[in-house]
Amino acid sequence: MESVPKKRKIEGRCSRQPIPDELISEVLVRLPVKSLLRFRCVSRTWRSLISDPHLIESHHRRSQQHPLALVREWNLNGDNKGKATYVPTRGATLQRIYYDVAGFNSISDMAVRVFSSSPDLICIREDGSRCSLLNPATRERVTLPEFSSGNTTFLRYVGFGYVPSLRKFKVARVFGHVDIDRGSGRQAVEERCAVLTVGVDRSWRPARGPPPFMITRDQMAFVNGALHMTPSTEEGKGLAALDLETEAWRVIPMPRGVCGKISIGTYNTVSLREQRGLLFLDHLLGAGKVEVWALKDYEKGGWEMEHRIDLGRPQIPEEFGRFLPVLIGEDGRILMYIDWTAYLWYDPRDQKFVPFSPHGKSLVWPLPPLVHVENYLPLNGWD
Amino acid sequence: MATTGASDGASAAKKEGLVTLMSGDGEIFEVEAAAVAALSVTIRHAIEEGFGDRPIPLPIVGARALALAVEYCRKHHSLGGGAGEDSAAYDDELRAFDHNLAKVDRDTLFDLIEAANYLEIEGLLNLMCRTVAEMMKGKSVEELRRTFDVSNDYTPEEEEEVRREVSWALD
Repeated sequence: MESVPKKRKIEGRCSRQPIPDELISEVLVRLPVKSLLRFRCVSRTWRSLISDPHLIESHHRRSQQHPLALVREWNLNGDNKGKATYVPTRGATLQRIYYDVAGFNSISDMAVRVFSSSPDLICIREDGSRCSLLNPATRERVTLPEFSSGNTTFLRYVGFGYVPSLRKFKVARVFGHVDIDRGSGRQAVEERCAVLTVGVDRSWRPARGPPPFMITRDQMAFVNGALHMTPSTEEGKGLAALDLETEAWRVIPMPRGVCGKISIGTYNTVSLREQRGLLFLDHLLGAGKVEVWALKDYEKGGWEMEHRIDLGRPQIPEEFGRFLPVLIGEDGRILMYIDWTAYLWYDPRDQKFVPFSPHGKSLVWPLPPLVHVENYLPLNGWD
Repeated sequence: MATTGASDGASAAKKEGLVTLMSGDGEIFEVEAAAVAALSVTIRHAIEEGFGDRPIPLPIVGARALALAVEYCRKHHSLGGGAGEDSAAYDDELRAFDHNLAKVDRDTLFDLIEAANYLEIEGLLNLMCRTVAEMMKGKSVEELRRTFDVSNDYTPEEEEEVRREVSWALD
């Protein structure tokens, strides 16, 4: 540093005046959640600054620009407790975070299922109808009311997201309702929807149902205040989007050339995810090939193909697993996941793959990816 | 580099393209208008409002912080065109400059946060807040109080209760 004048000692600024709260908040908003929870103990003033809803929401908005990949590994001890999670953040820097949560690292797809439609929270489905929402950063967890509907056979996926205008999380559930005609005995299935405002509703509210043939059992993606779902048949030419604030449905066209339902084995070829506020569509072409599309112009349905990734070796049996992008790091590399097999870093500049082995160890049985943005929004919202 | 920093008393003869800033403690800085106006919203507005011929008073910014802020603006203007960290122009040289600029004591860091906030230099505010956040991040409650002179106004009972609520985050 040249040219810093050292002429005079600066009078009047020597004894430090209290730092204005506004500036402390500017620093707090950049801290990890665990530090913020700890610093609630510093003083009353700090506790009230940290608990201010505006701070919590701006912390949340800032975090959205720095998503983390929660790389889970099946816990071989079999005690069903999530122990270690490796989190690549800001590209290559690894951070190890422990989220010690029951069910979090479970392998069983049937009994316990861990998934997420919004990187804010994780949903743990313990059996057919029981679900809980978990914020791994704060360890807060709420169990959702049980879901029962007489003639429901198809329990489809659950999606959720934070609605800033209400300052609440909402959860939506889409399911197949079966009607049996008493005379003929014929069955008719209708897709229906139920919604729950967390911290308000004691039971699921019936809501408008989705457009026909729209819902698959794939993960939903929460972008622009709406939950996005892929079509389940070729009749569905677009994505269904449920606006969580208004609870209204709309259809969003898919990228040209991408068709809804073609499946590889038991998987759908189209999968949706959110990153940094954009909706991404991964079009799985099988044999280690995937196209990554981003909805750059949400209103006009403007899709752009961002990457076409080819693992270059037909080593993945088509029926066995998917080859999926997880997250685009800040250095431009993409973290990829091969079902139950491995995580890899892909560099689009030289199209090379590097195994992702956190702390020099390769993962024994990596579980499907989850993306998380650290936040401490209260699960029950604010009144 | 062109004229930097302090000169005693406002010089009447204005050089082309320069603007005069006056720190809260009365020091006068003659700096390139383009560089500071590109980075500081406050100074840009002051120039637009016709302060170009008179010293722009910056009452809450001390001379040392102002000198550092000006240096920041100059460097970022000449190397990065004032673009933010996300731009391609944010290269290793700028990164190294930022890194060195942030190597100051705690009081200067907070002076710079206040200065960047007042002058509305977003990149500098972000840099300094992030630096302080890095310092705070791993600290225990006691260390934080000590390092940042925060007095504990909890009663022992209250403190115990808050600590119980977040016990897992304390280690």
